[in-house]
Amino acid sequence: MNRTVKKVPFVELLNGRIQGVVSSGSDIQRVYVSFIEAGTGNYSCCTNNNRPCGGLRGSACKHIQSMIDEAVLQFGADTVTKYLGVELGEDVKRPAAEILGKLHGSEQKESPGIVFSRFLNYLRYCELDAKPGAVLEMDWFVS
Amino acid sequence: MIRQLDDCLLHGFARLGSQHRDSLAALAATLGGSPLEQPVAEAVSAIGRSEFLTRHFVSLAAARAAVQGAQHDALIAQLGEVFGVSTAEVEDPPAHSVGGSAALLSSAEQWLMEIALAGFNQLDEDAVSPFVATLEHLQANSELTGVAALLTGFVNELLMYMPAERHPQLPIYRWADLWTAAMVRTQQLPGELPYQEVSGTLTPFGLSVNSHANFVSANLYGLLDTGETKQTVRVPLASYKVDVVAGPEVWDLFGDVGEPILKALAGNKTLTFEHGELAANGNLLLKTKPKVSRKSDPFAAAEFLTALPSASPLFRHPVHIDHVVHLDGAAELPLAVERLAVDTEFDEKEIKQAPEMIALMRFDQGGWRVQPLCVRTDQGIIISGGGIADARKTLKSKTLAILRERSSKLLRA
Repeated sequence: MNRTVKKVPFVELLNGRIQGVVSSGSDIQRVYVSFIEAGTGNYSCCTNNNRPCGGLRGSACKHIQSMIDEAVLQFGADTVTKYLGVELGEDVKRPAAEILGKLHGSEQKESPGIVFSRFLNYLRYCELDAKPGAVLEMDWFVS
Repeated sequence: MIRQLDDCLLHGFARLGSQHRDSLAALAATLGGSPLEQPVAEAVSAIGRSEFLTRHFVSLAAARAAVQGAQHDALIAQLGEVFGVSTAEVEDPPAHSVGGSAALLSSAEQWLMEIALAGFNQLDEDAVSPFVATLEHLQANSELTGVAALLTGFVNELLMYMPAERHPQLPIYRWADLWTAAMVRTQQLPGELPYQEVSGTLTPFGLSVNSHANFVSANLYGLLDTGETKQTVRVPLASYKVDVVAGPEVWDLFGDVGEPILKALAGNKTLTFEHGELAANGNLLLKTKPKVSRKSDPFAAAEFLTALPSASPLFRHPVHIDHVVHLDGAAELPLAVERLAVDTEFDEKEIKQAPEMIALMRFDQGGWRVQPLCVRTDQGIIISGGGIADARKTLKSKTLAILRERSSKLLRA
C-alpha cells in the first residue's frame, strides 16, 4: 500500500521522535504539526500557528495516529516499532492504534517551527542538481 | 580477510580485543609486497597503540577496496571466458583537486572514522544525525553528486536501524562496503572521463532502475549504431528526490529525455539522437531530446553486443558489474528479482520459459544472477520499462505539487 501524502505530507524518524505534518480532516486550509517521542511516548500536536489540536484530550489525537500509520507505510512496521522501542505481536492489523496503546506519554508544548523547517528542508531535495555524467554507484541500492 | 576487517568495524576500533588486533596484523601480513603494505602496516600498528588518525582508516578502506577490485577483475575475466568477449579497460581520469570541497570531504572522512571507532553494533542516532548537516552541504555541490548520493543512502539506512542494539541482525557486510566506498571517495574529486561526440540510432534493450529514498538512477541499456560502429551503451538518467516520489513518478525528474525513452520502450521502437556524449565507461549522455523512430528488433541488435568497458579502478567492485548478454533460453542461474521494479513487466514463469532473452549479468549474494532486460515470449517481446508510459497515464495527482501546496499552508501562519 502506498503513502497518502494528501493526508500526511511529511513524516520522518529523527532525534528519537516520529514527527511530521498532517492535513486537517475538516479544513483544507489547515495543517497540523505533530510528534511522538520514543520511550516516553510524549506527544504534541498543534496547528502551524501554534494553536493546540482540539483532538488532544489526555491522549494522542487522530493526527498522531495517521502520522504513525504513514510512518509504518513509509519505513516498515519493524523499523518504526524498534525505533519507538515498542514490541508488537505477529500480524498486526492496526499498528498505530497498538503502538499508541503501549506508549503512555503526556502532552508536550513545543514550537511547531522545528518540524516545519524540517519539512521545508526535506523539500530542498527537489531543488538539488545531480551532475549529468557523474559516475554513480547506485547499484548498491536495490529498491 | 574482509570478514575480519568487517568484524572490527562491527565491534568498534576504539574497543578492539586481542583477537581483533591479531586479525588486523594478519591482514597487514597478507598485503606484503603490495603498494598497500606499508600504509596498512602503519595503520595497524597505530591503531594498536590507540592512535586514531583518519589516514589510517583510509588505508584500511583502500585495502578492503583493493581486495574487492581484484574480485571484480576475476569475475570480469570469468565473463570474458564464458561469453567470449573482451572488456576494455578504463583508466581513472586524473582526479580534480578537492579545492573548495576539501573541508567538507574531510568532515565526511572524520565522521566515517568516528563510526568505525564506535562500531556499527554500538551506533545510536546521536552518532549519525549530526553528520546530516555536513551531508546537506555535500549534496548542494553538484561536483560531489557521486559521493553525496552514496553517503545519503548510507546515512538514511543507518538512521533506519537506530539504535543498532535493537536490531539483532545488522547488514554488516553491506555497511562495511558502503563505509569503504565512501571513505575512498572522500580522498579526491573524480575527474571527467574522456568522451567523444556521437550521433546515431539507439536500439533499447531495457531499463534498470536503482534508488534510495533521496536519489534515483535509471540506466537504459541499448545498442548504439553510429553508422560506422555498433556497440553496447548505457544511457544514465539521475536525480535527487524525496522518498514519496517513487515508481513511475520519478520520470518527472529526468527532464526532456525521459518521455521519448519511455515511448520507445512502450512501443518497442528505436531512438535517434544528435550530439550525444559517449564517455569512456560506455555511458551515453543525451544532450538533446531523442526522437522515437522505427520499429525496433532488440534480438537482431543483440547480435552486435559488445562488452561495456569495465569500471575505472576506483569503482571496481562486484556490485557494479552490469554485463549485457544475449541468452538462448532460460538461464540456469538465479534471477535477480530483487533488481526488478515492484510493478515489473516480467512474469517469473514467462522468463523461465522464454526461448531467448537479453539480460544483465550481476554478481550479488555471493553468486551470479541474471537481471532480465528484454524477454521473448509467446505474446511477443517484453521489455523492462515498457509499462511505465502507461502507468504514468493513470497517475492521479502530482506528489510534488501536493507537497508544495501543503507546505504553503504552513507558511500562511
